[in-house]
Amino acid sequence: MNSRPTVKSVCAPSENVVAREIEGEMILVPLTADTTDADAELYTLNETGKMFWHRLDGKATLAEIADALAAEFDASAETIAADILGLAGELAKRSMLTVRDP
Amino acid sequence: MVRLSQEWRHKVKTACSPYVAYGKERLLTNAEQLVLLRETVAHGAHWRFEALGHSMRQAIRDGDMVTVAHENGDPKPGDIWACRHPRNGRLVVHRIVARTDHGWLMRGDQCLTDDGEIPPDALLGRVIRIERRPVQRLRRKLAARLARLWRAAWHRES
Repeated sequence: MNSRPTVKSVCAPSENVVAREIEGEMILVPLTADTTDADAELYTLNETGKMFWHRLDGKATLAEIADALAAEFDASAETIAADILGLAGELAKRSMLTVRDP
Repeated sequence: MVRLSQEWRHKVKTACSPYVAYGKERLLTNAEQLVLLRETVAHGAHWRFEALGHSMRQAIRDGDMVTVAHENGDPKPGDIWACRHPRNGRLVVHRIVARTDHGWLMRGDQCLTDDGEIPPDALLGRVIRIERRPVQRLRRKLAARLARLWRAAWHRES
């Protein structure tokens, strides 16, 4: 069971997800259920979500990822950290992310 | 194509959207389905999707839900498999009809000719379940067809 991530958490894509970039969009397929229903259980990430996903290397904390994204977007690291915590929480809840706390 | 729904669209705050991805509804193209089916089945999971077309009627009707799974053994003639079509590269679900020197021959039940030789790496998974299309989907398709006919008749008159 994945815990709720914090800014100090280090996250990585879990083995329970297939992530494929197709025509610029990142599509995530959770494999937790026995059968993946193409009608109901797929997720797409937009451009910024994709940048977040690519930074999930199992080394950087979410705070560090927020700092890196803040350098590329017109938003503060605090704002982005709050946003990616929400997204990471949703992904972890669906077992698509592993969460490691220090 | 199949509908792709994202439940977290409703769960992630709207304020997140300028910076962080949130879900949206879209349709998967045949090419996207092929890539995702291959990956998912390779991970040992099953892939369930809506079959379109009439090449496998009566075994699979247009709109039926088909589940594809990884198969360890060799395909057997008579089995229905998902594969990448050797000529056009599209995802198709057809029946194995024979073994060849370098692969298998497949053909849709309603097709007059086979698909050509399918190499082993183009076989994606075996169909393990076929569910008849729900009545609602049938009604939706019927409504869409009627709407198309109505639009065509309207353009003809105007």
